Amino acid sequence: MLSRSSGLTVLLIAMLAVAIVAPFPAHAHNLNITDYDTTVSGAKESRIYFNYSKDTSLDYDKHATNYRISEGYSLLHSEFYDSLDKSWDLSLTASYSDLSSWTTGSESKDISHHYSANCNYNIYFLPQNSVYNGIKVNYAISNNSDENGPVGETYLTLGNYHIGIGHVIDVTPLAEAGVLEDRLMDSGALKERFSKEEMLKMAEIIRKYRMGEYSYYNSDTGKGRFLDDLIKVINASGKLTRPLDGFSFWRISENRFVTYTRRKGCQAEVGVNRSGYININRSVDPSYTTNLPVEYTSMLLTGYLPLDWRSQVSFASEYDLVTNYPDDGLKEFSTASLSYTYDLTNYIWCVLEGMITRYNYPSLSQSDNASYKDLYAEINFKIEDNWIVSLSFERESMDSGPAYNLFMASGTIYFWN
Amino acid sequence: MDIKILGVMMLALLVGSGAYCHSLNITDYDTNTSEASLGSLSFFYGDFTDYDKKGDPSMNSHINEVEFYYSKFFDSLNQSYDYSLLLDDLGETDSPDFGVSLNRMDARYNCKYYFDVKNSFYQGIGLRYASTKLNLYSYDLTEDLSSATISFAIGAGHIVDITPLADAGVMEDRLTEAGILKGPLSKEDMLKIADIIRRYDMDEYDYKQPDTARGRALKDISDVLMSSGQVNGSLSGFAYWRINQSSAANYDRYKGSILELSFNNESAAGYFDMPGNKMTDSIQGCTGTISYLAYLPMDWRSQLKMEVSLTLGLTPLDQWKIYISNVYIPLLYDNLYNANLSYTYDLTNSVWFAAEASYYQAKGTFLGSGVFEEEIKYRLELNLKAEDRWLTTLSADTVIYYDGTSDERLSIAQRFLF
Repeated sequence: MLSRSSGLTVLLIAMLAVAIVAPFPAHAHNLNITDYDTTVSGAKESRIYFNYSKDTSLDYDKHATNYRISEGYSLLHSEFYDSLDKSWDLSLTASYSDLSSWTTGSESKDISHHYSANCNYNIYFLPQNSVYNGIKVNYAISNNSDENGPVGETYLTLGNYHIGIGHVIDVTPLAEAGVLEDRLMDSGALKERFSKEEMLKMAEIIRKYRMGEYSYYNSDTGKGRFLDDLIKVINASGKLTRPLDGFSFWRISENRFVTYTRRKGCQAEVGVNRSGYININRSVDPSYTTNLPVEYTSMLLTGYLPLDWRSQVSFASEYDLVTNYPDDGLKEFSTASLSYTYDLTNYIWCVLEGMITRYNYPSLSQSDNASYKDLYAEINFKIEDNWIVSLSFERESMDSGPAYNLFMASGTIYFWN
Repeated sequence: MDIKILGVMMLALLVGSGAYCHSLNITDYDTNTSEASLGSLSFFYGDFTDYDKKGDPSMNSHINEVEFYYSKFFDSLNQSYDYSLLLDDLGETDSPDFGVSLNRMDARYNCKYYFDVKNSFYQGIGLRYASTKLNLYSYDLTEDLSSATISFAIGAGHIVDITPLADAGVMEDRLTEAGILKGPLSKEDMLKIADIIRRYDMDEYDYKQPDTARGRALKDISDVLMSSGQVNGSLSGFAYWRINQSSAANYDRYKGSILELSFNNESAAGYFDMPGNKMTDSIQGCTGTISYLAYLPMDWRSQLKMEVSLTLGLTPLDQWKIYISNVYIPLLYDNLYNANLSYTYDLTNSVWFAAEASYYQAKGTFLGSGVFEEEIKYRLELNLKAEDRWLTTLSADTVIYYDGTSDERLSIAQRFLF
């Protein structure tokens, strides 16, 4: 008789075996999943929102006994530019809200302002060697006050400068185009596979939609225009066995073709980071102020290796050397993870992941400086319209022994006359 | 407030109604037969263990649940029925000192039958039985409650949900605006599309194959459009997206009227037991209701609705009904009057609004004290929209209570995109 922990280990191994031995349908696309690079995408938009509401209660003489007025304004501007060698995005937000309420004998007021600015910029200054640098700047101010005056202010700042080498490219759009092609083939709508050029065109349209380029310009009809562009490529291919019907359209418009994000490439980066948080809370004490400046140097190493159209291995690690952390004296933080994903949507998809994390607090006891090891596995089986079964397993341990165990199984079977 | 409401109504009435010419009237739709059934069996098993810093288990939680559900319906103009059964068994143990077990059963049956089709006389019955058994071990708390409801109705008239045809009309307008249709669809094609929409709204597609229901409904609609001969070339992605927009008409549309006399008998029994407090619950009450409901579609865009009802308590009803697990707490009145008049106008994507006036009065007793409530309510909502550009929404409500006090609410929201 197996103990519970032995049983779970056996189960994990069984799940791994099922995932790895699971049938790999011979989906012969006319290109590889890695044959995709990012092209140029860019958009901008501005929005204004305004709302006002007033609730009033009146007595039998039509005199107000209480009221509540709410007003709000917000202004948003955002834009982005994204290419293989340069990217930046900018967003500016300003909002104001005023909530006033009054009841016989008492009056209250709650006013808040919020302003924020975020900017990210990355450029490959040695493109032939894939060497890049970049900055991130985020700044936000929030103020609020009541009927007696200001009660609180919050300032948030985040600054980062980094330099790195390598390229990580999101190839999820091409993975989605691959699933789309498979589904159209499965339903008999396609007489042959799309060419490499057609697949790349579709991936590019999907990428622009995922980036928000369509909804930036047309908030109400963005998805319609995206689908229009996608179907134009499909129709122009001349590979449909019949005019596209409603079911095929619905397949194309399904929101998520792949369960897991797919990437390719690797990247090493060193960054200098500074964040600040200042909170002034006059409702606690007129002089109450929290000031939390944090400074650290980060080193990141990430890598993604697509094995084929369905499966991928990825690695991520981070080491932070903290030079200023006023709260509890954290000096070092490190983490590393290795994961494998397999994705045959609507049939079987799974993820297996291992992660090690370590904190170093010199001022705390040894037990608070433990390493944490986490092992996670999830596998899902589905036959569309018939049944779905999901299994997940997680085990976390620290230096002194186990920390957390989880096992979950769920499923639904449909039947009808 | 009244002046504001009138002003907004005038503005809405002056808005152009769009001269869309359909090949049939909104009232040219009757319900066809729809039927489906679905069963599902679901399970959940979970085991979670937390360990302290010494590696000893500090908490273990174990959950298992099995749920069975079966339902079936049949719907036509002259006869309809539906029934469902839900069985749920849940067990949870949490160390060191917490545990729950829950067993639920909920069985329902409703039917309506026109025994004199020529004069639209019908009768209907509704049955429901529900039981809950709950144990919270750590608190020595147990609950065992069951309730049964029987209702019987007899009436004259027909109310037919014509929203599916209104949805088909909006779809035709949108496709015409986008230049996808050469001209209006024939009456037969519009009725075919309306019936597909109806069967989808009734969940007939979901019942048969829940994951791909929407896809098969879209295929059926696009097949009708393509065979109509009115499509310019083939349907583009944008055209399909327009067809797939989930809510075509903003307001539900109906036609017809009914006069109905109904009786409703509810009974509940059981107990709720915890240390120092045991409550038994055994209640039975019967009410009778006479009601009149009428819908008058004025055209493809606008509709009037009128509703009047009177409910009388036929047995002494002087306490709350409390079903603790189901959180079912209705106060049963001796007399209850309700009257409602509303007008809706719906030009989707441009202007749509609703104006409503209602009167409500309830008299009864609660734990020996008299209860009297009276409300007169006016409500208006107005939406103006230019797709991809801006949206304005405005609503105004006034409620006047029996003692002369009142509540007023005005709300405006505006969005600009540029």
